[in-house]
Amino acid sequence: MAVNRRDFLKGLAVGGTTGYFAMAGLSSTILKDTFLPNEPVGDVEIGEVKSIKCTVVSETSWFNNKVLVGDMMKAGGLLVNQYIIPWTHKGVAEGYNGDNSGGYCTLIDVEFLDGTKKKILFDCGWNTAWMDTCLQREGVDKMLEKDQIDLFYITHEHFDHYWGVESVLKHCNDMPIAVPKGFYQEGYDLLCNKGHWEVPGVKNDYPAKGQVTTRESGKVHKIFPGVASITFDSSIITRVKGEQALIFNIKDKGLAIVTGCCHMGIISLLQEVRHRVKGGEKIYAIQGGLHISPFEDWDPQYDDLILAIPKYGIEVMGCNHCTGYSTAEKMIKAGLPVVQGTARFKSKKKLYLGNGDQIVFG
Amino acid sequence: MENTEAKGFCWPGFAAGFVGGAILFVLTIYFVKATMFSLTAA
Repeated sequence: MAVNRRDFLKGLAVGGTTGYFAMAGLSSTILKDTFLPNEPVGDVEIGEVKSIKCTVVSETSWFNNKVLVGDMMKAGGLLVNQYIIPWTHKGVAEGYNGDNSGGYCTLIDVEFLDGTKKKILFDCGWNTAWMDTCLQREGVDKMLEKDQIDLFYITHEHFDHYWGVESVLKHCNDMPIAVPKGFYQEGYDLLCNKGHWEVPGVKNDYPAKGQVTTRESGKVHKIFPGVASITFDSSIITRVKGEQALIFNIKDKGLAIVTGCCHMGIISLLQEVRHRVKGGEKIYAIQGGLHISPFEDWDPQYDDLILAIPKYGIEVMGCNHCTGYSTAEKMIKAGLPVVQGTARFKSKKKLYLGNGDQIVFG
Repeated sequence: MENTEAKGFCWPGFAAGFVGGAILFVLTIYFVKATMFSLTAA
């Protein structure tokens, strides 16, 4: 039988429409698991801790955004090696004695289920004069001298998280140190070989003597019972690679994540923890820099982050630093549980945890 | 003059369209997934 072209095209149109919607129906019912697979659930058991207390030693990494961004742009852009950028250390009105550099550093007190305790020093800031003041203010200098710091944990090699290493090592240089995969030779030289760079103004005269562990990405590293570390191969501005974050499993509460700058992206971090760590379906808290609007600029895509965060059911957000005040304002407006600070010791606003503030999880 | 060509619904056309439509839907899904705005880019 001869097929009429017009009839064939009619059949094609009807069949095409029917097939399209039939497949849409199948994909949302019988074939749902194929098209929308369930999220993988983490299976790495890290144990539990009773509680943790985070003391913000310093979250003000720099004091003037414009000056900091200007330093990078004048040196050639955001991807220029941080060790060849002439950072501004003089003449900044709101800086610390005119120096624009500050630093990021947090002290974490961990209480285990058996009542024992450990202290983790989380990053070490940038400007050694500023960090000396901050470490003294929180009594960390004395803790270091008494060998009370059990782990010196460096999230990533960025100037504001790492270059204040001399302020720490001059008090104690034989504690275990953890760095992420991605550290450059300059980073190891600064830590262990009396590295000294004139142009950026960074040095360390107290080489580390303790064991330095470099943690690979792609797995969960158990550190203490209930405490684990996770590394990301993030490529970051000023030619930095790799960042790690700490995960605590707090009994009867859920997971608490402590992050330095979160360059891996908050959603990537939350997803990775959820997919790898047992109990990841309940992320109870997050603390530290969330890296959304560090320079107080705003991009519409950040609104999507604000919309995406609530689905993780986080109960406490102790964010600060590179989260940005603009982000904090929007998160609070969106009903997210951002913990407010006290705006002391050169932290500018009470919108989130500032210098000298403490938060307890557990 | 009487049209002697066969008239009516063309099932071969329907079958070809059905398969094509189903494939188009699957391709649409993959295209949307591939070009979807990534939240992890920030």
